[in-house]
Amino acid sequence: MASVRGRAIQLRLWAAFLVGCTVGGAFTGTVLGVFSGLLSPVPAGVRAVLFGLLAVSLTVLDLRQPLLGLPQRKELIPQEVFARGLGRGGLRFGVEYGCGFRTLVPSAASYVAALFVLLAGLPLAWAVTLGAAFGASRAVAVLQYILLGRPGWQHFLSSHTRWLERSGTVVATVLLGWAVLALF
Amino acid sequence: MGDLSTSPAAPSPARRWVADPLPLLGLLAVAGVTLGILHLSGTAIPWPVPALLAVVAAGLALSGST
Repeated sequence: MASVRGRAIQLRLWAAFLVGCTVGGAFTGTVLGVFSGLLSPVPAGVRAVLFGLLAVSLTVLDLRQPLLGLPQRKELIPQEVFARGLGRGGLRFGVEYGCGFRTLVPSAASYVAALFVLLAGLPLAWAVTLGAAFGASRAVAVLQYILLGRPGWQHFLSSHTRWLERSGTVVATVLLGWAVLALF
Repeated sequence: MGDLSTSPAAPSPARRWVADPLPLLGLLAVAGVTLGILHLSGTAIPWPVPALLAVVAAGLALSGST
């Protein structure tokens, strides 16, 4: 994203980015929720065990690999999304960023979350809500930067990015394991 | 997303961490543990609570690619 000076402009751009991220996440949640219906004939116990096995496998994979080697689109979101102005660009950038599959996915946490929505057999509204919450949370770090960041923020963050990615996977797996136990 | 400000002051490590998503993820984990303890001690915590915390954790985990 192009450099933008002035907190007021940054916050307006961030608001568009947040809306885009939320919409993108909700889109992914909707798709996963619809596909989860196809798995509804599978007994709940089987789906719960499958989730547990896959979630633990993904977590171990994330903890062992220096860089996560799961299938993903290994391209950045093109800067051309801002060609029609910052507001529309921020929105479109957010949609692509928040959906969770249009750019790099360096943590298994999002895969575990997607598996949960796919296998838990949730009502569609909950699948959409969880997707929207995922998307919105992707915009939080940018708000932190705007409000509290200083020069070198990204360099500092990149020094412990892998810790963040792996910790997120562990936390998400434990919490979703709890949610599965409560559901089934 | 690139650096958006131009202030030349060198920030302290504490200032760095306040603006970092990792402590936020830590707070979220602490909230999850606290709710888990409450749940084990008999307070009913419905499934959407850990599920919502988890997807937020997943979103924060990807902040490094911001």
